[in-house]
Amino acid sequence: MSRRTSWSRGSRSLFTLYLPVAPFVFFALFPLYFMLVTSLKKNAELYNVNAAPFLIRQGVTLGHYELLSKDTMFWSWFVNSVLVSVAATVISVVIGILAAYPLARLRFPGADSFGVAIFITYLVPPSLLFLPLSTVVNRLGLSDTLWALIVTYPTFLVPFCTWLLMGYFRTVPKEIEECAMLDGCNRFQTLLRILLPVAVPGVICAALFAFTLSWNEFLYSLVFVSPAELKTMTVGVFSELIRGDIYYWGGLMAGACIGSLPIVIAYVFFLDYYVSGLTAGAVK
Amino acid sequence: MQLRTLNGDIAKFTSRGEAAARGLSDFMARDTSVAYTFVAPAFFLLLFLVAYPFVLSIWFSLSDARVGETGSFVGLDNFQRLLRSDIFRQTLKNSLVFTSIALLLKTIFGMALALLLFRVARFKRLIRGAVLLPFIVPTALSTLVWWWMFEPLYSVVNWTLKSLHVVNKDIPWLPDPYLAMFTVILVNTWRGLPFFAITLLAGLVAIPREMYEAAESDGAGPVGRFWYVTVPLLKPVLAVVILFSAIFTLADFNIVYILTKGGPMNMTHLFATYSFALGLQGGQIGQGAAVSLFLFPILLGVVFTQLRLVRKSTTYE
Amino acid sequence: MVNRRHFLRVTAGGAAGVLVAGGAPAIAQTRELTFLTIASFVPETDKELKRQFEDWGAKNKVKVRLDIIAHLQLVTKKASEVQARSGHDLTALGPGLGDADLYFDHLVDLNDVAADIAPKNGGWLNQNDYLIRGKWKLLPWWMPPFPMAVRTDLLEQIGEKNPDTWEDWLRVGKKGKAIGHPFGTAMGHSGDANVTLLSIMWSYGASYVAKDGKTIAINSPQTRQAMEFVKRLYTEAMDPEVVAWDDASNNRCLNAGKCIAIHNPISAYESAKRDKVLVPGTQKEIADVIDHVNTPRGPVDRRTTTGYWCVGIWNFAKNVDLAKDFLRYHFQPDNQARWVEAGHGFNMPFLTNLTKHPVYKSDKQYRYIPEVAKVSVPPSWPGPTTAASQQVLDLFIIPDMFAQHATGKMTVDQAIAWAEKEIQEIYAGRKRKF
Repeated sequence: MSRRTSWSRGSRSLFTLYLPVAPFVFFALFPLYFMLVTSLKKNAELYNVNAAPFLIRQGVTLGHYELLSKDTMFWSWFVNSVLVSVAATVISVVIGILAAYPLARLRFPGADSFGVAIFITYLVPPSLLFLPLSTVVNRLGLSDTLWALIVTYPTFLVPFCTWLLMGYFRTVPKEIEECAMLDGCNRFQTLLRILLPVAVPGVICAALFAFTLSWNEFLYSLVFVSPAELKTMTVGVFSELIRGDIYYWGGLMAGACIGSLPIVIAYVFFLDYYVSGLTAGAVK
Repeated sequence: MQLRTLNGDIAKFTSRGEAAARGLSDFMARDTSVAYTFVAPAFFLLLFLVAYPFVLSIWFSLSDARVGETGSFVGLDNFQRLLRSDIFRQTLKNSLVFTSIALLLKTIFGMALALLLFRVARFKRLIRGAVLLPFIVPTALSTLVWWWMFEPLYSVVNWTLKSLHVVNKDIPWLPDPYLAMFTVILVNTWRGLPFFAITLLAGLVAIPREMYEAAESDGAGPVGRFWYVTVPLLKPVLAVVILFSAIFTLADFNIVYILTKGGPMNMTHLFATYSFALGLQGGQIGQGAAVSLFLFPILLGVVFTQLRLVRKSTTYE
Repeated sequence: MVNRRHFLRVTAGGAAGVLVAGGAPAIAQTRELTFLTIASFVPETDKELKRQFEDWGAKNKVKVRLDIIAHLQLVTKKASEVQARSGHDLTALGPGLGDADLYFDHLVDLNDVAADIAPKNGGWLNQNDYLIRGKWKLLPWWMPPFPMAVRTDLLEQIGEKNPDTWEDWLRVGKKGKAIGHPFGTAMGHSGDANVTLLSIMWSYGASYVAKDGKTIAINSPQTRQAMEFVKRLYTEAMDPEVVAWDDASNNRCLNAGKCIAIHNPISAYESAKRDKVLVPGTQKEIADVIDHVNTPRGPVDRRTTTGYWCVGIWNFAKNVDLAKDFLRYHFQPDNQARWVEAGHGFNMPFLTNLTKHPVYKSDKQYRYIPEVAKVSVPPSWPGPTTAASQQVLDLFIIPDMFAQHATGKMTVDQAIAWAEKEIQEIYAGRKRKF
């Protein structure tokens, strides 16, 4: 893109591009903005029906955040969430890459059925799967440890990672791979040196996806881990801040905000890499 | 970091790939032992942690199993019983409406958003990050925000509409059965849209520019380029995204559970929420499993056909 | 599926091998007791329970762990622990006594514990209600009684005094609605809706199941009467939004200064007091103008229900005797008294002496709580609690029946026929087992 963007071009892109994007951005952000505002409001204003809901008029308070930090084990939960999500993501992406490669590239007996079988796992809703799974987790002796989550999360992450990467691997011309193999690379080296670099967008996409799903996971975390100090963030926040018919709205929203912030930053940072990588590749 | 050095490679390979002929070589056709080694981790993971529970789930649906008890085989009894239930028939209807509309919205707007994002140059990072947010924020908590936004008394939506004099009475977002359905679809779309947009965007970026240039030199306008270059090349990605989303949307639990609990008058019950009420609250896993697996045969068919289509479209060259 | 266990062992063993996770080592002789409970509606209650648990642990040299989850998640947690036959030793159960029937084969008999506890505390309130299939499968632990919470200033404003019957409240609601302060009771998929609508049914002499626990009794002139009443209540005294209300909505409606009265435990008042919520447009604290009066009476009866929260011991618990021992400790009169004190009277035990706890005299707001507790019965009343009776509540059949009529979606007869069919299906589906 050159620097000589003229005025007329600029205003055209304003109308055809930035104006249409605006409602999307608004739609995406408003609930989150509202979340932030709610977390910073004093209870008296929060529960006043006549107050403007999306403004803070009676002063900002950090009280809800204090409640979260002091009265709950929020930071332990947070660390647990990070540990579990990172571990599950790494495992899933690695398994996904390994499985996707032969499924996309090699012909072997059972390839098709396995490809389909992977997909079918998604047809069983987790709301049902978790019951028998809890038996398995218990038999493995993993109940009430973070390992329970690190081991079970890949069950819903691996299929997606595999499928996504299969798609990307298929787009790479086979000739390149053949060249590498003629140069003496074995399968593993070809995968590592040839296919993987080309599939970077796919790998990042899969990793982001896996990370997000792990970070958001609620059911398994609730079911497999009970001790307060081992809970993940969402489950922890729910247990402490919803008390029967009383919701601690400020605290819940504060939890949601802190819970989102680091990944948001990571995403923005990561996305930049990801996008610049893609752009560089596309522009040559 | 490593990514930087990889970029060059991508460029090289994509361009070389374009130039290269598309013929298949038998050179890499058979490599069975390598294949099995690579697939093994995924295979065992899914075998132990999915296949077993999955088989058991199917068994549940065909038995009078209850929590903690295996029960005995009853054939299709559970399914027949469901068909007699007004609540279940309503649930079936709701699920289909919910899934098809949400999916349609996500596909159309996701595609639109991806195309827009593709062209955005200024504030690129900011805008892409912003539209991605709904997908990142923990669902359990973000759904609460939506509930808080539509909650009858404090609804910020109603407050705004009233303040702007668009309406002079509260809109019954959650009390009215149809509006309640609209609301849960809206929230599902909000959450799922970024997944569509970003994945499609990734697909768009991967389309070699030469394809567009070639189409342009053939006289294709923007619409033509979209239909003859973008859509066919995005098809595999699109198919997978839609399929995934369909399955996840159909199995959605959180949104309905938090916003309406299936009410008013069961008009928003989905498979997952109804199955929860029957199977977990009521302890009748058999019935709960039957609800969850009711569409399984149909879905299985859809998955098979769609996967075959995907495979065809990706082996076209 | 005869082979399930075998299959399970094989798979689990194989998986363990693959994942190099190994089996759970039998932990050495440190005695440990775990307790799963729900986040109490009044946080101090949890702290007091924790204190007692730890005290007891220290005295008996037992390592204790109290895990707390949101009450909404208890269902899931219970099911998975039973399925895995592993988890906590002690567990909160409920709401309702239904778990005793549902998990009958997975709970330890507590006949001995119940018998030990009763004499020290003046006996159980309604012992026969808590016996499920003739056994103590759980101990009823606490309930939040449902009085009527009312704004006294608004009552004065509309010139009403001491409303006591459901008809009175309809009139109050009507006048209140005219000045922008409607009556509020949930009619959607929420526990409160079950409670209030059942209360109304009983007050008019109706019930959904007969005393034998088998005959579906919902199709009766009394139900029709109750439904006509609720239709009037809905159209004349309430806002349509109540069909979407959850358990928290009526609290908010009262505390936001909108509702003139709600049928609810004292939690709304407690949170208003804690947060110093003001009456909109004034500097008056809303807690100062709230009063709680007895649950209303109808032409036939004064009767209500509530969430019966219970505690039980899984039969797969590692330490049944220790668990029983802690229950005995927790149900000692002085520990119960402190625990009730910590809950500000929100959590009322099902023990006669504790309904006379000083906390109910400490605030004039609480004066009717023991009265309400006396007329509180399990939701299946007059029938016994069973898994089926519980499922009628879980599927919100009663609120849906009322709502479908009140909103005009169905006629009285259609709505009753609908509910009758659903309830019959539920009871029939459960019969085989028992």
